[in-house]
Amino acid sequence: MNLYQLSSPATFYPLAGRLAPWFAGIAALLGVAGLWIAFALAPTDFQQGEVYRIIFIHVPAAWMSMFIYLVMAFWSILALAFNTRLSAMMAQALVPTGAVMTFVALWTGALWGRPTWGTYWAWDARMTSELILLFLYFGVIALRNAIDDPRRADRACAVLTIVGAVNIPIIYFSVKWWNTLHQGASVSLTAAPTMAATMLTGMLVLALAAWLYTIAVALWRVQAIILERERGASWIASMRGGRMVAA
Amino acid sequence: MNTSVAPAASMADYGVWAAIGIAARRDLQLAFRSRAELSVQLLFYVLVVSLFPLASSPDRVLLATMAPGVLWVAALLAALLSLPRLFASDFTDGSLEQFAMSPYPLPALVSGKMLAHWLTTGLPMVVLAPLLALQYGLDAQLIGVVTLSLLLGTPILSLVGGIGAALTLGARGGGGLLALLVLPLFVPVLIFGAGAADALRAGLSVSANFSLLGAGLLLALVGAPFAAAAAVKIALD
Amino acid sequence: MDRIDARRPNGRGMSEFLSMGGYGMFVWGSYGVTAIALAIELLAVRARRRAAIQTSANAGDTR
Repeated sequence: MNLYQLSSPATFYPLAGRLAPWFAGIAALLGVAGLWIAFALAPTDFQQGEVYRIIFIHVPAAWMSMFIYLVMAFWSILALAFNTRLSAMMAQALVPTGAVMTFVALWTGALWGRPTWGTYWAWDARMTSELILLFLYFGVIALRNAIDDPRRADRACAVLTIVGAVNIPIIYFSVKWWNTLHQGASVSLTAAPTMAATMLTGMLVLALAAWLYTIAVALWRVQAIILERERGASWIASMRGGRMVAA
Repeated sequence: MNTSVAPAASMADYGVWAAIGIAARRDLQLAFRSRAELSVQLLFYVLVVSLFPLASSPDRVLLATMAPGVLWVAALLAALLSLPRLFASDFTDGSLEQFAMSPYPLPALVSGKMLAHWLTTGLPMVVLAPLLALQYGLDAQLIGVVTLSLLLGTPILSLVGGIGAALTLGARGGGGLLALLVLPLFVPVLIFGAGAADALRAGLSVSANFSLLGAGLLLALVGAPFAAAAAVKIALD
Repeated sequence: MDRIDARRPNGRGMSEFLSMGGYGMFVWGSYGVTAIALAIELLAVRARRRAAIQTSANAGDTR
């Protein structure tokens, strides 16, 4: 099976169904391992006490929120360049998970900020840019819902995603600039405590778990999208009673 | 109003500058015929700027601090108000399709439309800004900085906003959707634009702000017409 | 080096674990909301997928 065959939704559908449970399973195992590191192995931080353990979720979620958007931009470029349906469907499948990761990053950031720096929200570069990233995700979702024709929506969302991706570093840089202007010496409010090896390992393990989770969810979601959009295609009817399990 | 794009004398005349000129001239003519609508948009800008003191407090120091931000946010809102019209009427009456099929390069035609949009919405705001800044008690130097920042920034709003206007053609949700798509992209312009006055007040050099605004303008000039033209083609399919 | 050990027999370990040095609300508020968010996403994807399969199966029946 070469790469071009894989770009047909009909071919990809069963493959996605076979792969997704594996990704989900390994993600779950890594999640448990990461939580073990976060609570049982990692020592108490002498500056922040126990509350620093929030970074084990906050940092991986923030990484994923950015990474997912870049992957969406990648699929969008493919979708526009090769006009393939499946590339656009993969981008479409990733958006909700990206928004969830962004929300988690913002939520945990606020709950971490309150006890450590005294405020739920501070207009520092990272949190503000993360908030704008959430709006970028909402924008893609809103545009998708506002256009009826799926192929038109594919291309419009692809353009929007790419334009947004170009802007993300600009937005981050501008907010960082704004921050230094208004705070004098730049203090990064979301600086993690000094990174012991255990902490870094825990974050990496949970980041990997989040990544595999995202892939699993995206594969399942793209299966739903494929069926929704390819309705009436003959290959679906021929799958009935065979490999289409409503698991 | 269906004014089509006139054919040129020879193939060599279908260049970028000719396209920009034709599209801009056409849109300016159309805008002139609906001057009332344009005045309303400008009045909206003046109104928003004048409302802020009423919503907060007439304290002179507070007003002077708010002024650059207020002028900038009002400019953003006024731009959002006028952007849907950039492509919408041409889309419905078929002119946009003629644009896409004409021998002129579509990105150039699109940038001509964006130029006309700025001349009819952004530039008037720049001209009015010094007068409105007086309401906020800004001194001459600050007024100059704010006006210059708007001069550099409002074209970026027309350019980047034009991408949003093209993307939302034929989509439900109209102006609200356009605002949601385009406001995150406006944030850097807002920060560097309004920040110029703050930098001056803090005693720092404003050249960095203006350099960054200038760089943003160049980037938008180069990129936005192509992105918007791609979005127009998508809408026309 | 002070590690939370939930296995301590006198039960003090568990209550320390839950209170997180007094920051329990923040830590468990974070982990809890994250767990809920992921659970909602998983359930939503499962529901969407099942609905899509069901609809396709029904459509196939009428062919």
